[in-house]
Amino acid sequence: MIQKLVQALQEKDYKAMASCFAEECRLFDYCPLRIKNENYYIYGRWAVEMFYHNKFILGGLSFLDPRIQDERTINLYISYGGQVNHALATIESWEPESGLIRELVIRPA
Amino acid sequence: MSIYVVTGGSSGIGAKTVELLKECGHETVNIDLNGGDINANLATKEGRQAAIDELHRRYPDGIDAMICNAGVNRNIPLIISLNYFGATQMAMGVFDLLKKRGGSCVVVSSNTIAQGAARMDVVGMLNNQADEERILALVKDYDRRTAHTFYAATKYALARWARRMSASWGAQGVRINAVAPGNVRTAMTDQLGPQERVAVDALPVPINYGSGALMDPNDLANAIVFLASPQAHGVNGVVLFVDGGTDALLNSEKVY
Repeated sequence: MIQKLVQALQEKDYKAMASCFAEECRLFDYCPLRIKNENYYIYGRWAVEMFYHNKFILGGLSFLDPRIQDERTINLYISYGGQVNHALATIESWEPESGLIRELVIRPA
Repeated sequence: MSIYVVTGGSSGIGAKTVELLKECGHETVNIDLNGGDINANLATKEGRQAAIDELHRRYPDGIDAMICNAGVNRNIPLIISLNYFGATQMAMGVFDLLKKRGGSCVVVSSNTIAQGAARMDVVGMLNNQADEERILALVKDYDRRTAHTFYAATKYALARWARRMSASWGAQGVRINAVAPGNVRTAMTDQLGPQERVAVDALPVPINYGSGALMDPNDLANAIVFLASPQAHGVNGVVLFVDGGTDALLNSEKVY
């Protein structure tokens, strides 16, 4: 699942990204506050898809050079409209049967 | 039966609002450039004054609501003159008529005010200086490709103006609120090119997601009619997002 997620992030494929998540998932991103924006708290797979649809097309958001650190963690850079943050994206929990992500937390590295 | 005045009531949200008000049995007055009950160019001082004078002539005992809906999104000077001054000057011009009947005012803003696109320098000039001629002189040479930032600025300033006015007007028995629509289906959006369509689709309307559908003008008309009605008596100084949840999707942390 983490490889599929990395590929989706690289390709800015918001549908593929959302398909990595469980229906009742949570995605928290604590990096935007570093550039004086509100952090992201996204609840549910549909919201993940819609939110990143907007951010990839209009919001200037890019995931840069994502590298799998271990089975739960991606080490990456995130560009928020040109301001780049070094971050760690950690899968905090997933569905045992499907492997779909229940909770992903992105923190400043 | 109440008397509702709607600007830009010949098409889109305005037309649906007029239609709904008529269905409810109210008298409506559509002020538009063409095809209105009163034809006037609200992008000009003369046009606004003519419309205000005509409303005073027709309704000396007052009106129940003023709905400032007329707006454009492409021509920068027109955006400034119609979206902001065409709304604020019309609302202020009929304030005495609204006061006579304890009426209300609704201005049509936009959910783009929450997406960071508005030129806040222009917002400040509109709200604080409000000198139409000087502002028009400043913006006359701007690239028309930046029109969307001026559009968002006028809509931001309009919502802020409504909130600024609401306390004083409320104390005199006149409520004023704003609606902030998301992308609404209109004749213009039906003819979008592929690139424009990509941009519109990237502002998802959660209640319609997957169907590609934009907001239905009826959804806006229902909200406007509610805010203008006595049923919204307790609502004053509010900016009501009617965008199917787009703002909540993109700005979930802003609860106030």
